[in-house]
Amino acid sequence: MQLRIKVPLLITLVAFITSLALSLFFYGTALQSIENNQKEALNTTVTLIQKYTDENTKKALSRAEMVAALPSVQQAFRARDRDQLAQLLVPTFLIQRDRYDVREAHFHLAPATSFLRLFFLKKYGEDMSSFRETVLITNQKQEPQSGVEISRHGLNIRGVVPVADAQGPIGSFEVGMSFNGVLDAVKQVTGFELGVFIDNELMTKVATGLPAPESDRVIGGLRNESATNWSVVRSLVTPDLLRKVNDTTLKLQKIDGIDYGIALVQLLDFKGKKIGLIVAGKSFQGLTSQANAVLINALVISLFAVIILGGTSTILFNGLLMRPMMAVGNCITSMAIDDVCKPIEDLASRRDEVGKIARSCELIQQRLASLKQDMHGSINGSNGSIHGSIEER
Amino acid sequence: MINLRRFLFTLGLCLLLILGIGTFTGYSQEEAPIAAVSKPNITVSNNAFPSNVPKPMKVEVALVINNISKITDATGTFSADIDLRLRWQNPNQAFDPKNTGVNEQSFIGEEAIAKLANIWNPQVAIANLAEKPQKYESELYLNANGSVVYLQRLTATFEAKYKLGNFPFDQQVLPIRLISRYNSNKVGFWQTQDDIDFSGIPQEILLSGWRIGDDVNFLFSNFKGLDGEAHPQLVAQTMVKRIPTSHIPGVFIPLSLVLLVPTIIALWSNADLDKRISAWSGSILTMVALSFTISIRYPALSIDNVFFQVIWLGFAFQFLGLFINFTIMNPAMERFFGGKYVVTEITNFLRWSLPLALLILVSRVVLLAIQI
Repeated sequence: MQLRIKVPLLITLVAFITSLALSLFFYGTALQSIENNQKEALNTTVTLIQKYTDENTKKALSRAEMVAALPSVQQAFRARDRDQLAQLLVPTFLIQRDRYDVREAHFHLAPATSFLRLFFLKKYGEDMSSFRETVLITNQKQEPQSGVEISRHGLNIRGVVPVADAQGPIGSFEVGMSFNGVLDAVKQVTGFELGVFIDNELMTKVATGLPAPESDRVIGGLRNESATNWSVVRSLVTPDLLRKVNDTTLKLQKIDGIDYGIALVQLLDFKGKKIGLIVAGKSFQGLTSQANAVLINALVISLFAVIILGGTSTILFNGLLMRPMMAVGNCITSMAIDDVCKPIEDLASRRDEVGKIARSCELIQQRLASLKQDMHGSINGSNGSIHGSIEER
Repeated sequence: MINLRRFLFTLGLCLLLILGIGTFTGYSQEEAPIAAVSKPNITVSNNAFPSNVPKPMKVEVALVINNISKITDATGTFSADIDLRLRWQNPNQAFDPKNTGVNEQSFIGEEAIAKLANIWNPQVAIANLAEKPQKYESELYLNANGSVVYLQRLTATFEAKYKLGNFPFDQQVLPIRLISRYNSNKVGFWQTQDDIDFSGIPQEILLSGWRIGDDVNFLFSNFKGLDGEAHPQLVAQTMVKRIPTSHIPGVFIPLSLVLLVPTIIALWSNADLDKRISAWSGSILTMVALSFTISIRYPALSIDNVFFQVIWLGFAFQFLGLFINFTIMNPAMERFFGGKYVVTEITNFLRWSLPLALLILVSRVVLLAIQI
């Protein structure tokens, strides 16, 4: 391969590899930064889920405390007067239910016997000590308990407080808040679609007051209790995914060609035992597009760098060195075949190394020309003396 | 030898035309004003807000887009057939089924509108209606337990703010914006899983030149009304993606031809300087005409659109080509660029690098538009 091709080609190749490496490095950095943003969004969602769950736990507890502290409520409860309690509290409960996601309000007698459900007045008297530990502990220790627990009517965020008057303990009162409030609040802030999944076996055993779930709502042994948008949440989860989660898990996953960020948060009951999962998911397509735009721009810049570097090296190497050298070479060739008069054009006027070579070549050219002239002169002179001798003879 | 006066005159004319087109294409789509709240056929009821309900009263909204018949970029509108279902609870409307003999009272058409005018309703209106609906059907159902269901089927034209920067590789949001005349403390939009399941868009909708999205998304927010109060707002929207194949040949084929001819004559042939300059001049004039044609054909496109970005790249290519022919490839200027050997190399380099650079930049513009 000729040098005028080989050298620029090598320079171009090196430029190409360097530019490509740099572009990929920058793309990688941008991608990392975008992935960090995605994880940050997922982490924020997880934090918000926990924060709103805690907030709702406090709300449940404060509502329960407020009711339990009312003298009229204590009086009616002490008198075991269900009608009086219902008369006092049902109107308030309905407002709380319709406006503030309060799903349950329930009076119990020690150790854990249902006394009055404000949300289901006809159902009372059941011993719940086998599955309502918050109620048991509250009545045993006479201390408020709060957290997530499943009752006959499903999963709620609960606050249970003891009810007592001057005569001593009467029983307990609880407020149960729906998870929908948490899911809606998180969705409003982050745009994530969320769903709560509970151990189906546990739900079937305890939440007998609920109708059986639709078959597609049970996935991997977990039952979907509520969701902001079930069709979206359904598309995010698989039985495997739900089964394998043992801790808060953040995942970036492609679903139908679209990038999704999925956060799986363990749902713990009031004792810290895992009873289910909260799934949050959102399309990250916008961020993926940004990453692709970075890649496109990086590639364009690297291609331009290659063109400019390759072009510049070709122009400088061939234009300033190889082509003049070839011209000088041609000149030497022509001298060799006796054409000493072929000019080296303007190369000799250059002040660089090529100019020096051209001037040297010009010098040889001149020397050869004068030698040629001398030789012609001598030959002519010799011819003249030969002619003279012949004539003399 | 080139007639310099004639050339300068042509060049000046071209520049004037380019500037003229630039101003013309600088046209930006005016934002459509928000339609008045009272635009739809909902008469303001004098009935007072029910006093025995929790506030804000939940108005459950479901919306189905049955068909999208037209999307007009130039006017920023789209025509669609929609079903809108509003449900709310009004204890004042509860009745004893024993007295009426039915659990549900139904009112259809004019009856529904008349009945609605006589009972409290959340005064929900479509805020982005471009004009009066072409077709309007309504049904009202009052249930014994006080729940009210109001169904509307509309064929109407809606306003939308299209972002046409990526045209024809764009996707657009088609919004249907619902607002209530009551403030957010009195009325709030709400969706249950039943509303989400009811809402949607059929997969079989076909609209020439567009690929229709498969879902209707709902965005809840508040909207500051003229009274200075926050009113509930719900935007139901679907995404549509334009099929670019019908738009690309009409622009990219003429553009390629306009640039190919002078490139061959000026960079790849040994034509004289005057012939090369003439080729560029002709190309510039044709490009101006092409730009003008695109402006006429797509009046809603702004200057940042893909087509105009490509046109501007074409103009830049022509300018560069012209400049190179005047300078580097002009034999009279050879000595200013390092002599004939360097000029030969520069010329050889520009022959392939200039078209390649244009190709890369055009690809970048197109790829970014496809991505975003």
